[in-house]
Amino acid sequence: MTRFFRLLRKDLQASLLPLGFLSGIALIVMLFTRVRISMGSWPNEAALAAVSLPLVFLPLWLLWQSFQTLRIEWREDTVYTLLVLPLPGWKVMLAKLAAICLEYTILLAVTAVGALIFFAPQVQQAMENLPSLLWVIRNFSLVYLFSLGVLASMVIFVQLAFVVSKMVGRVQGLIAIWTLFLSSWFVEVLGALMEPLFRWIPVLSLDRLFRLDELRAGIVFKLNLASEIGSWLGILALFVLTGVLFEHFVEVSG
Amino acid sequence: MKIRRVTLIVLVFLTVLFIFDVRYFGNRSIQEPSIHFNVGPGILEPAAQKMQEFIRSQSDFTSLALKGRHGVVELRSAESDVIKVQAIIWADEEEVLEGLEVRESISGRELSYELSQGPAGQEAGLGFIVHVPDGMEVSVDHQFGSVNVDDFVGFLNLNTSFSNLNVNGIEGTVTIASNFGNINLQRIRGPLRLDNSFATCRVGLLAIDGGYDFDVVVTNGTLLGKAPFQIGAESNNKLVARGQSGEGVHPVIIRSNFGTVSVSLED
Repeated sequence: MTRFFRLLRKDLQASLLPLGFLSGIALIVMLFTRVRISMGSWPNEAALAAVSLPLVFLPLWLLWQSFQTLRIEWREDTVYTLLVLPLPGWKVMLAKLAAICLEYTILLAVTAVGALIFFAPQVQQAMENLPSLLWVIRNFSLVYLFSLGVLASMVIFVQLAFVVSKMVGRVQGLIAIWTLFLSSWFVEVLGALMEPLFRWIPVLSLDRLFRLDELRAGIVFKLNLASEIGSWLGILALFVLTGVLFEHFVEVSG
Repeated sequence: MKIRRVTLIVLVFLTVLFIFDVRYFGNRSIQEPSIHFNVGPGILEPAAQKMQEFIRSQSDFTSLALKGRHGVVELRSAESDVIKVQAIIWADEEEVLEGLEVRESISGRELSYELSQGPAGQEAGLGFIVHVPDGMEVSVDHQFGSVNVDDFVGFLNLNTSFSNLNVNGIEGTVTIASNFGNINLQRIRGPLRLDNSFATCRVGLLAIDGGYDFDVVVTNGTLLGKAPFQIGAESNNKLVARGQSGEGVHPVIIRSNFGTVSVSLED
């Protein structure tokens, strides 16, 4: 377990500089927007844009980062060290996945704190239209967990694509893109094929989970888990496959 | 070298499966989506309400227009020669309610009802219970509530948003434009034109002399049904269904964006 955390720390240390840079950029954008709003040059709505901007950019950057952390191992020849470590391949991949998830959490927290510091009046105004502080905290936590799940799934696809591309000699970039595409198609098909097996699972009422009735009556928000579980199992299988391929079949010299 | 070949073979095999899947099972959009999101009408509890009743003879009018908001519209036709309109007005406060009334206006042979202008910034609603003679033309414009039509004979025009629409039994021509709400049309016998966005629609048609001519286009949505039409996929997430029952005399035209449409035809 210690080795796993060392690996995780190594990945986090490698991301420290870009993480600091992005956090700084996000805070500067918010500060600049705050100043412009105070001067009356920009409307209050600009605050929403300033907070949304990092949130839109964040997942894209993290997906690139998940590709980049693996690429660096090859570029700097540290992949040899990874392969001789007494750690199964899936744990190596899990460490990288956990690092990305932590980066996401940190950047999200920076954005949230920045919004509270720079746009306190706007946040207070928004809060007046929402049911309660507890409701906001609860729903933000749930949205965070859901988004973390989606991000983790995307990172798993990227990791598989990268590892598969390292198993062929040429056109590795094209192979990576094609694998990314095929793997997402594969889990979609798996979800559809396995759907009859999970029809006994009740439909998840997200409107109740998010307590949307406190916001407005009549909102219906349901998730049919039956068609999703097969896809989730497929993603899990792809994660294990990536670990096995990385541990046994990957070509270091590629 | 061997692993390179195996990897490539697996990728090629999966690519072939993918092409096969797209070619023969590509129309996945006809399956039910796993996420269902719908913003139904906001059910506001009226703090104060009052009723106004209007009774008119049909002989003077051929069409009726109703403009409501936040309430329920109940419409039914019967074999009589009297137009009976009960208007239910509600408001958040008694003082506001006192200043509100339903305005009746006549334009040619059209009779119409709508709410008078209330105090600015005050929320008010208007619903109707309406009985009309068979064969009349009725237009309903309604927001944030629900519209229920039972056993109607005539020409019906509905324009709704953020409202649920339940129609049970129509003989005549129906034209509907609806956004954000559930639409349930059952026992429809006659030509139909339905335009909707962000809505779930169920259309149950009854067999009719001359038959139906189906022209259904669903964009970014789901199309299901047991009716004599062929569903085909076009570009831009568009599903198109065309077909005929009988001689195809009565047109059934449906245009839907970001919604689920289900069409069935009973013999």
